[in-house]
This record gives sequence, C-alpha cells and structure tokens, in this order.
Amino acid sequence: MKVKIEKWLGVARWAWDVPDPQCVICLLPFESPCPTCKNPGDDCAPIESECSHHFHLHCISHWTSEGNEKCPCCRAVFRIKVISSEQQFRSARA
Amino acid sequence: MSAIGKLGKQPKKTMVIEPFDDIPKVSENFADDSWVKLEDALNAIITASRTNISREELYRLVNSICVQNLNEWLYERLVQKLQGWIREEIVRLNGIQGSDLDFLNQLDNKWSDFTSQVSTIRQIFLYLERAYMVNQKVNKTITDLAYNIFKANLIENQPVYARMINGALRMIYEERMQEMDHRILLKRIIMILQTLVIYRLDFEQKYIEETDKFYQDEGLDKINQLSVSDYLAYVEKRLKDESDRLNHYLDISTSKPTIQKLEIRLIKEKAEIVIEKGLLQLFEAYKVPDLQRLYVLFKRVECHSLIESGFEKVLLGKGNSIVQNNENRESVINELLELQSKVDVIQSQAFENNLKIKYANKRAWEQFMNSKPDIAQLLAKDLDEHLNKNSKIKMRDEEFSAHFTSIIDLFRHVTAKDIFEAFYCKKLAKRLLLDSSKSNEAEKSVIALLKAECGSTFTARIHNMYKDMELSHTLMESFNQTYGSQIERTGLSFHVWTLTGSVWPQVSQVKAILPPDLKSIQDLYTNFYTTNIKKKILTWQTSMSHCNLKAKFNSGIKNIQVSLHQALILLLFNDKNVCTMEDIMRATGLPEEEIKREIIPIVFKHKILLKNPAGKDINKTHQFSLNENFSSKLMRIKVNSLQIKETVQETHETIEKVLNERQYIIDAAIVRIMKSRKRLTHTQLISESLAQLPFTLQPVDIKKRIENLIERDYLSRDENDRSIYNYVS
Repeated sequence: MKVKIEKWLGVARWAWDVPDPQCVICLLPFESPCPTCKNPGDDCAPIESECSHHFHLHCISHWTSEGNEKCPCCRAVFRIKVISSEQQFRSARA
Repeated sequence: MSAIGKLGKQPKKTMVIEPFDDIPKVSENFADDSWVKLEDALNAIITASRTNISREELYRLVNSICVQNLNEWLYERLVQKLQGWIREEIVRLNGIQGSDLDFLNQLDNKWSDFTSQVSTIRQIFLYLERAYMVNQKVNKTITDLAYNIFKANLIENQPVYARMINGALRMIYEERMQEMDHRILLKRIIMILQTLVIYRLDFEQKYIEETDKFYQDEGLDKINQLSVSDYLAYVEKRLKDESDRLNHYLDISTSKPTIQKLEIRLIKEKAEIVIEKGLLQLFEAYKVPDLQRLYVLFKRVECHSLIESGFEKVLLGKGNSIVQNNENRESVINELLELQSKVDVIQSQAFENNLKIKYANKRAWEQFMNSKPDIAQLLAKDLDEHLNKNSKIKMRDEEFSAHFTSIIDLFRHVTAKDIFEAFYCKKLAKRLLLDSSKSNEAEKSVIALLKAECGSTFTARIHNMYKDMELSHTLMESFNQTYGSQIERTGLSFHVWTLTGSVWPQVSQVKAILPPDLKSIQDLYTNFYTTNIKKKILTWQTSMSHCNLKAKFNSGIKNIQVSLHQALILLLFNDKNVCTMEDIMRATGLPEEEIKREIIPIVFKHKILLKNPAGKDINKTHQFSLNENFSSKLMRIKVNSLQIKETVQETHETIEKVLNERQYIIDAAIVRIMKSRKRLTHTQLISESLAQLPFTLQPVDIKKRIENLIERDYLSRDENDRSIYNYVS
C-alpha cells in the first residue's frame, strides 16, 4: 500500500430523532429551543410520550404542572417514555 | 481732678495767653512784592535757569501770603502764570518740524521736563495746595491744575492734539508692519495720554477702530495668500503680538475689545473658509499641531461647532472613499484601522476629546461603515486571518490584542452585527474543527471583547460551539473505553467531533462513499452513539473531516495532511495507477465540482498527483496518476483544500440566511408597533420600524414584510384610506 490513513478527524452532526416537525405546544421546530430557553441542544430536549407524541420537555412539564394529566394530542393518560439528552447519558455513566 | 478741687485744696493756677491786641501787620505791598519774587522763581523754573532765592524762602513767602487770607488772590495769579506758560509750550510743540517720530520724541522730552517742572512748582506752592486747593472741587493739587491746563490747551490746539494721537497710532501701525520697534516711546506717550485722561476719551476708540480696520484688510489678504496651516499660525502669532502690545503699554480696559475685534476679523469671519479650504487638507496631511491650533482658535470664538460639521464631512468623504473602493477589498480593513488610529490621535490631541466632535465622528463612522454590506464580513475575515494558525501575519501578543481591540472599535459602528456573527461563527467552526486556531487564549479574548460589546446573547452560539467541543471529548473517551482496542487494531487514530446541528453553521451536504475499513469504523461510532443516546440521529459531514496520511514515494515516506475528500481521492491510487476524473467520481461518489476543488491543490500546488494532459482546466476524461518521484524538503506536507477559502456561493448563502432570519425580526417589530398603535399610515409605520430595527434597511424591505403580514392577516388596509394600516387582533 502506498498511501495509508494514519489519523482521521471525523465530523458528525446530531439532530433530534423525532418524527414530528415541531412541538405542538409552542409550535417551534425541535431544532430550536422552547420559547423560555435560549440555547438549542441538550439544554432543551424533546421527550416522547407513551402515546408516541413529542414535545419539548419544558413545554410539556408546564402543561402537566397546570394539572393536566392527559396528552394534549390524544387525551391518553400522559406518561414519559423516553427522555433524550446527553446529560442523561453522562450521568448514567457516572 | 475736680474731685480734688472740691476737697478744698488750693485752686489750680492756670496760665492764659492773650492774643495781641493788634494783629501783626505786614507792609501793604508785601503780597505784590512777594509775587514778584515768586514769579521770578517760576520763570527760572520754566526756563530751567538758576535763581538766588532758596526754595525754603519761596515756600515761606507762599506760606505768609496764604496766612493773610490771600489764598484766592495767589491762586488766581498762579493759574494765570501757568496758563501763559503752558500755552506757549503747546504752541512751541506745534512748531516742531519733521516726522511723527521726531514729534513724539520731542513731545516725550517736553513732557518729562514739564512733569519735573510742575513738581518743583508744587513744592514751592505746597502750602497753597494744602490750605486752599484741597477744598476746591477740581484741581485739588498743583499737579492736577497743571495737567488740566495742559490738557485744555492741548485739546484747544487741534493740530498738536491730532498729531499726537495719530502719531501714536501710526507708530503702532509701523510696529504691526514690523517696520520698527517703538515700544519704549509708545509706552511713554500712552502714559501721557493716561495721565491727562484723554486715553479713554480720544485714543482708545480710535485705536480699536484702527485695529479692526487693519485686521479686516490683512485678514482678507492672508486668507487668500496663505495656506490654511500658515494662516492659522499667522492668526496665532497676531493674537500673541496684540496681547503682548496690550500688556506692554496699553490700558487693561482696551484689551478685551481689541482682542474681540481680532477674533471676529481673523477667526470668526474666516471660520467657514478655513474649514472648507483647510480641514480636509490638514487631516490628510495629518497635521495634528495645526488641527490643535485650529481647535483652540475656534474655541475662543465658540465656533467649534463648525469643526463638528466640517470634521464629519471630511470623515464621511474619507471613509466612503475607503469603503466604496471596489478594487482592493483586501486592504479595506487595514485602511479603516489606519483612519481610525489617526482620528483617535486627532480627537485626543488636537480636539481635547470634545464630546460634540466625538459624536460627529461617531455619526460619520456609522454612516459610511454601513454604506456597504460587506464590511461586517470583512471584519470577521480579518479576525480569522489573525486567529488562524495558517495565516502569514506575524505579530507579538500585545500587538494582537491591540489589533483585536481596534477591530472591535470598528465593529461598534457596524449595524449588521448579525452578518458579522454568521461569518465569525463560520470561520470559528473551521478553526475549531481543523484545529487551526493560533491560540485558545486569543480566541477567548476576542470572544470576551465581543461579549462586552454586544452582550451575552450575541456570543451564546459561540459558547455552545465550545461546549460541543468539550462534549465530543467526553464522548470520545467513553467510546475508546469500549472500542479503543478494536480501533487500535486497524492502526488508525480516530476522533470524532459531535456537533449540535442547530448551533454550528451549515456546510455543504455532499456525501462521499467511504472505503470499507473507514466505513466500518464510522458505523461503529454511529452505533455507539445511537445506542447510548436516545432520540438522536447522527449525520456525518465528510466535507469537514480531515486526515493525516502516510505516503511512500521514491524519495521516502511523507506525512500529508489533507481533507477526507482528498484522502479518498489519494487512496484510489493504491489499487490503480491511473484514474480518470470519471473513475474518481464513481469511486468517491462526490460531485465533479467538489472533486475539482479538492484535487487542484494536490495537482497544481504540491504536485503529488500528475495530470494528463497537463493544463489548468480539468474535464471528465483527464487522467491522474501518483507522482512517484514526488519530493519535498518537508516531512509534513499540509495540503489546504480550496474549500478552506470561502467560495462566492458560500458567502452568498451565509448572507442569504442572515437576511432570512432578519425577516422574522422585521415582522416582530412591525407587529409590535401595530399592536400598540392599532392604526398607522404607511410612512409612519416605515419610519417607526426603521427606528426600532438595529440594522440598516431599505424601506422596500419593510414594505415587502408589510405585504406579507397583510397576507397572513396580521394587518389590514383601511377600507377608506388605502395608505392606512389597521392592526388585526
């Protein structure tokens, strides 16, 4: 072999893996944070409910804190299925 | 004493001096006789000859006359005598031939004789003065009397009087023309005028008028003849001369009106011409002392507002010529920096940091800095050039920080801060990902400056980028814990930057086909990431990736630093000796344009690949082969892809993106205004929006957004008046 790669600096971008284009509560896309946050990314992550709907974590917790127990999309009893964030990953490892 | 008397002691003896029964008489013609003697003495004094009567005797004579209540009689005589004498003296002055100078000299001599004669006379007649004259309303002393008589006669004798005053004025004129120095003589003549109290009466006014006229003429001549810088020096000198003159021999009261005349004639009336004719010239020649002189002189007459507008105009002209210069965009920033440092020096040294001039300066900068949209971009580019390891700019650390500060000073005037941010982030991303930043410290200092200038929201994105860099490291650590050994077996060191998609600037989304070994490593990481982190998907950005290669040539082994795309191209030559452009396209899956951009530096700059046929242009059928005889003095060869340079299209895209973002800001501003006002005419709405929005815009841009908002039912046109908008709630 004449040419060989010794070191590889790769670059990858991540995006939220959510089927809905936007949070139905604040109507903002998931790439941007909820209206109360300034920084996009892990600081303002989306969640998936057991009924497979996606919201900004902050938006839906505001919703539930007002005494609503049902999913704003399908009125099923609201439960969180997946919270996604890197922080969670890091804290799990620690 | 009286108490003792009452006690019955002997009465005290007192002695009483009785007056003479008869008042002692003097001979009847004693007074007349005495006067004869006195007159003799007076004549002697006047003619400066000797008498044989002693002064004491004369004094006693006066004394004796006064004692006999002959005060008035003696006074009358004395007055008469002085009258006669002084009149003659004045007439004699009239007879003086020759120039004004001769005349004044003689006048001066005469006066000094006169004063000493008067003082001798006063000594003799002192008793008369003390006993009689002090009670009079005027002429309380002999000196006053003599001076008043002198003055009256002088005024009466017009030719002498006029010759004296005009002579003095003429001497002053000669001094001004620098023909002669008459200071001492003039000082004495002015003294005469002051003593006789005719200075105020007849001299001062004339002097001021004369001065006014003189400087009116001279000022006009000089402003036409001299360059502005010389003119200013001339004015300064004249002001100094005149105030010297005033201090030296003129009355204090003359000082203020004279200097005022001078200021009006030489500065105030010429101010506009000076500014128009000279400010630009002085500024271009960078004559700080002259500008300082200008400021100081103008401040005297409160004309420095003229400097404000003039300076603003000059700066605008200068700035626009730099900014609008299309030929050499590279040097614009350097020229602006140079201008800025010049202006700073002038502000602080010449204009005493005058606030109003500072504002004018600021207005000018804001205008021309925003007259071309690419200034923000050029500033970002300049920062990149100074922060990039690969740049050729060599500076010491403190020079760098000074440079950054002045760049930020320029940036302060730019309203298109969003465009700057977009370009800055883009460049920063490249510096971070390619590890081409000169020093972390310098980066941090620039960010701190930006934060101080625009607030933390402005730099939030930059901070997020840094956060991603750190996160990538922790991710990489845990990846290596699990898969490290597996990667090591491939003999390749591997690192991934995992970036938040919405934070980092967008780059071109070309997808390259990786060779199987690389692909498996990449998949390993993707797998690791998605299994550990829920709800995230990874997209690989091959166009930002970089590699270090080891290549064996006939001359030896070389390390080559290339982009991943270039590496993919070079790897092809492991299996084949010759590849056509089409082969490369097929094997890498990259579009033709991208390959051209990547291959050009390999072929033409470093000559690692050979092209057949040779020539600058590349087309699909051209063949490439590895240059076995490649040699270089360096062990490590860095191949910059052209991609590091911003393409025109990329620049365009970045700006487009910022402009798109602006639409939302404009929309928000319009809706905010309409929500509070409910009803506004078109022009009102436009002007209010322009005032609220932080960047420079054309009214057309706003009009477009208004139309869009009407379509989206945020606003509506008024039924009756189509130029009025209503807010739709």
